[in-house]
Amino acid sequence: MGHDEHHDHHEPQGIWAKYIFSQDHKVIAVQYTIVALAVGGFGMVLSWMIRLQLGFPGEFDFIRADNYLQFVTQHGMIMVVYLLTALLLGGFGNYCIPLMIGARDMAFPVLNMLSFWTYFVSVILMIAAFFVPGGASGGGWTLNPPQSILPGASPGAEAGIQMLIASLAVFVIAGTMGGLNYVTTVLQLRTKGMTLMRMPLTVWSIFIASILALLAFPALFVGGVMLFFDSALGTSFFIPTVFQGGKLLAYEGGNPILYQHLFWYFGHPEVYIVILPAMGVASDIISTNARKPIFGYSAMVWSMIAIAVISFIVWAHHMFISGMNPFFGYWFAIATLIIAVPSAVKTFNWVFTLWEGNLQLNTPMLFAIGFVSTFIIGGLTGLFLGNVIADVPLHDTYFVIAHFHLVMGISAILGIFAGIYYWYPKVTGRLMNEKMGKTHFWATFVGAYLIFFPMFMVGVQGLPRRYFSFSGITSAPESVGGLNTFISVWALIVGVAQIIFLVNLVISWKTGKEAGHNPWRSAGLEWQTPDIVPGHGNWGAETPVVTRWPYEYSTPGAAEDFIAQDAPAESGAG
Amino acid sequence: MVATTLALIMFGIGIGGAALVISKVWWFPELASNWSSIDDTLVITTIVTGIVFVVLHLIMGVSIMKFSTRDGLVAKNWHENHKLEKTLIIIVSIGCVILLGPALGIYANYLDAPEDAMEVDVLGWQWAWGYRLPGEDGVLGRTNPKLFSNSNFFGVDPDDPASHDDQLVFGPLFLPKDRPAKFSMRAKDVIHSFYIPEFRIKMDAVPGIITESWATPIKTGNFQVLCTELCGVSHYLMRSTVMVVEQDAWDGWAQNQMTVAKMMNLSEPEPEPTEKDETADESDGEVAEATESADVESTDSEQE
Repeated sequence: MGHDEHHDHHEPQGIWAKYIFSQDHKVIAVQYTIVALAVGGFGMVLSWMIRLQLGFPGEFDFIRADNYLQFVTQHGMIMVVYLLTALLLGGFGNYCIPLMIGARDMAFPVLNMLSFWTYFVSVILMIAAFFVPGGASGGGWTLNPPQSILPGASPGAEAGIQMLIASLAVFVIAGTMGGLNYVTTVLQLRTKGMTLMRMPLTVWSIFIASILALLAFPALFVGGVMLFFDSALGTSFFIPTVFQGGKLLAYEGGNPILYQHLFWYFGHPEVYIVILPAMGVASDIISTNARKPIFGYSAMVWSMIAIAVISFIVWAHHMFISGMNPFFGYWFAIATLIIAVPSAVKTFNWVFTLWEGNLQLNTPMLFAIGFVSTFIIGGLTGLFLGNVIADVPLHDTYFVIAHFHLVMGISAILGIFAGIYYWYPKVTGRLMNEKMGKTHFWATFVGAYLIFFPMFMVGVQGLPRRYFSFSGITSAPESVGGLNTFISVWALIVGVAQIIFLVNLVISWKTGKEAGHNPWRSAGLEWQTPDIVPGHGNWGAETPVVTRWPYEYSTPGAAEDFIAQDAPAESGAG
Repeated sequence: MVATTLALIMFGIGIGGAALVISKVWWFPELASNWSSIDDTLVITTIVTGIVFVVLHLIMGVSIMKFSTRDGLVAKNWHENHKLEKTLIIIVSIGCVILLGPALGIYANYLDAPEDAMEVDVLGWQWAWGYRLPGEDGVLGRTNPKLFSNSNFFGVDPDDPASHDDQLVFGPLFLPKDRPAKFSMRAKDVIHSFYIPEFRIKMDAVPGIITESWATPIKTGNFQVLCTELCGVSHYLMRSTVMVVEQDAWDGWAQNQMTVAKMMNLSEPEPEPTEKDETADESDGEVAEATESADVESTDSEQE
């Protein structure tokens, strides 16, 4: 765009301006990514605590029934909010959007910087909750009242949950600043020729996820504030007359189900806030490495839009047995199975993209294929839980745990790994080590199946989630204990395998193989920057002019098997 | 090498997953209620989703085998096929209708307890379950959460004459075989969830409201009640037992349960001749006390 003469993007000077309080979207993206990965590592260690207890009951004295619930709660909250949401929107959103649409930076760089530092504050608050009197909340990640805020039920029911709610409120502010930025940037700063229907699916997916976040997070904010009032000020939004500890408490007239509606009105779109960007990233990586255009691009875009719209009318499928009016079950079951259709369309399209391609099975591609596989099993098992009567026996059992871990946890993190391996050379100029990358993939992907497939089996036997111990449950056979040990062993192995990733991430920064301009021979705009590692402002004197979509692979008659998005229109070659 | 490994893993996931499910090494506990229709739904859903799961993994495995890069391989450029896409959308939609249609019918049945069902008031608190039976008049008396106290454990309204002959059960709940039981659920403190794996039923017990679920036990035996909604530190210990017995054995048991009138020392209710009950209940303090450990624990804490 035209203001190339003396545009106001001056290279900032000094460490503070360049790396700490940077307004450069690429630096902010890396900041988001590093913090989110660090927090995610902590969340993973918490999951080990859970698995140590369930796999080897009684062997580890430091895990007790009370801190077990804290591990469960904080693991869930950290992974969903502080790792996945932050990394996919704050990390990938920041890094990819401007480069992929040919912009020099985000629309509001200062706001972008504030978004990261606000997120950082929310992480500090979340961690700080572990050190307040009573410790962190152990009320389950959904924080359902009355249990989460009544002292004497779960640990951390006073200061712990108040601190966590404060952290979530700050996170929502950070997410709102980021989300407004991503949406505005996509709508306003696309370079010449970058029509909406020429945007890569990564950008589409983050754009849609950002809109979802802007619409869904307020419900969490409102629910959180009301819950905070109930806890700190003694209001009764969510607490009816209850009798606890030998006396009637001072609450009266509230409705605990109202909280669940607010929570899941956020919570269900949140699933798609996390999985849509992973879908977008996987789509781009699969197309590039299949050397083949993504199958059914417009169907991909429209199915994401459909998923986004429908995601706001399915929330109560988390509440089939919550005690809400049971007749809602009909509607929410129907809406939930409708959302299966666009999800299936996307899955078929990934599979068709592989067919008759020329598959480059590098590390990013392996993770992207792994994503498709875990999304398939996670999505299909959702058809049990969304179909109201089938949900009844499975609800709140380990079947649910396996389902949502695969569909939004494992799938999302495989998408994230694919993206990190894929764009690492863009960030650093160097490739990550392929051998270590593949080892990381085999362990993570196979391990994920060995953890979560048996977990479905644990679930069908009726073992409930959030149980400190299963001893004495008569409906399940003895062998279920063996399954749990098996799962735990693999959880530890997969966890340790992440160290390979960490080491790879660090050592490749300086010692990785030099990547060159376009290591994956991608048609995408982000690989056409003048510098290998784009500097401040991303582009040279002028932003690029886009002439085609980002999936121009193996075009018959072309000189190479890809044509860059900004290749001159007449030319057949890249 | 990478391609072969990945393809084999895809085949392994598809076929191994299917084998593990079909072998039924781990499957639902044996059904002990009328809800075979729920099991049918689960089986149909397993078959439909299982076929999709296996087929997609086989296709991915074959793709990886056939189309991983080698010298001279050129990808085909096709990327649209509206007819194929439409066909698949229609197939998926039909699949969803097949899953949903009969299931919603079963759900309607689940919401509609039989007229002749015996009503049981299920009360959850931290961390135990208690039960209230309607007594001779077959009607459960009114309750009000404001009436919960250490002497009125179930929060029953003594002004409602129907409540006087209601029977309170702290130990195992006996149910007659082949008679529908409708569970009306309440909670005293936080949300609990009433789950009997062998019955396939589950429903949250929420403070402030009454929720419902029903089942007809079809097998005699002991079945565990589990709490499936996180309710605090001892959530995992919040268990109880349902004992399904023949009708005449049940009659004998039911006669001996403590009534509300007895428990609360209420004066004789006018219309009902409950003389017989009261005498029969004399011996029953012990039964009420013979509760499971979790019951005892929390009962103690309630009455600190």
